[in-house]
Amino acid sequence: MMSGLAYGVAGFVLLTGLWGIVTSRDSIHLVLCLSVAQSGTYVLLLAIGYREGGTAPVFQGVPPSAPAVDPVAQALALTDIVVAAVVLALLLALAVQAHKRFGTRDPDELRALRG
Amino acid sequence: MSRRGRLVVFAVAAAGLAGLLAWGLGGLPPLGQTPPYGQMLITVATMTRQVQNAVSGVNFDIRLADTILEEFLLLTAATGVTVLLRRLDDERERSPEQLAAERPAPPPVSDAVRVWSLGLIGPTVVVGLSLIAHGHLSPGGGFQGGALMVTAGLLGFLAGRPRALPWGGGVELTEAMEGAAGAGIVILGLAGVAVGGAFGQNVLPVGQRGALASGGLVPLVGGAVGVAVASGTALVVRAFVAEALAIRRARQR
Repeated sequence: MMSGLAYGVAGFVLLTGLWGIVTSRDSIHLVLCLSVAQSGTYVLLLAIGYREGGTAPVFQGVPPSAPAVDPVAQALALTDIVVAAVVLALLLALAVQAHKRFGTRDPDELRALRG
Repeated sequence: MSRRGRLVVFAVAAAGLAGLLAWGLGGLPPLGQTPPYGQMLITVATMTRQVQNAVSGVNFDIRLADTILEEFLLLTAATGVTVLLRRLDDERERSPEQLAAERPAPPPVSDAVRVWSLGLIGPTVVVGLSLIAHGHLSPGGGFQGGALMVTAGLLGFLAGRPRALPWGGGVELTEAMEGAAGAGIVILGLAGVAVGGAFGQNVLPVGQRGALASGGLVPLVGGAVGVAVASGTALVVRAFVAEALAIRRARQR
């Protein structure tokens, strides 16, 4: 039951972000929707790494034999965040340039490639 | 395609994706059961390498090669943003003097923003340095600390004159820091090869778990990652600020 909830939330967040991307009328909003969609992967990674009764994999004042959540999933979540940040930066740069060239932030108005 | 048509296509595709997700996620082990690999890495990180924070042990030692690729990804993105937001042929970049002389002058920043920004710079730098330095002991590390260091720079930008471009002459220094830190991580990885071992081998004495000087190469790699993340992100921020403030179409002069 709990695993259905955690994995379901991950899928729901992903699909919500995708819905926002498809219906977006503003390129900045579109980029943020992509970051919402990607947030689903954080939930999924943390759910995969979760361990029943586990502590954080930082053993300060805790014996290393204590049950802990999966450090690999957490390291992957960190990588995920870095990827999200750089993709966000690149897409925002593209949005800035598209606005400068075409004078609009509405993706629907970028009908054909010009120039 | 009309918006309505697009929504229909999306609804079909989303239903298919939702089905695939339900199928795939349903095949995962139930929540709370982790594969033994993570537990094994915890033992290696804490016992063999004496690293208290197993996540840092994974990032900066056991999976060092992946972290190097991740750092190069950041470097590539910083390059990409700088190229995308460069001054184009029909544009010019106004000098700081031109920006300062612009009329009408921009509205002044409120005193409250300036006081709080200025006051927060010191604590932000201290926390950032602490996160980097203790990455192998407590939650934190090079990535988190590096991001905080950039926040400190942004606070300085807020507290100062927003129309004065940040790091006017410091851009080249920041680029050099980014390159040197990226190379530094690779060199630390090559240290293992130099002593006849494998790439990324932890060649330094690992010390006692919990001590500041423990974990061998882990704190050094964490520090290099911190510098690389801070300078790479600073370059990205700088490119956006320059684009917003200084770069104008030449014919609007």
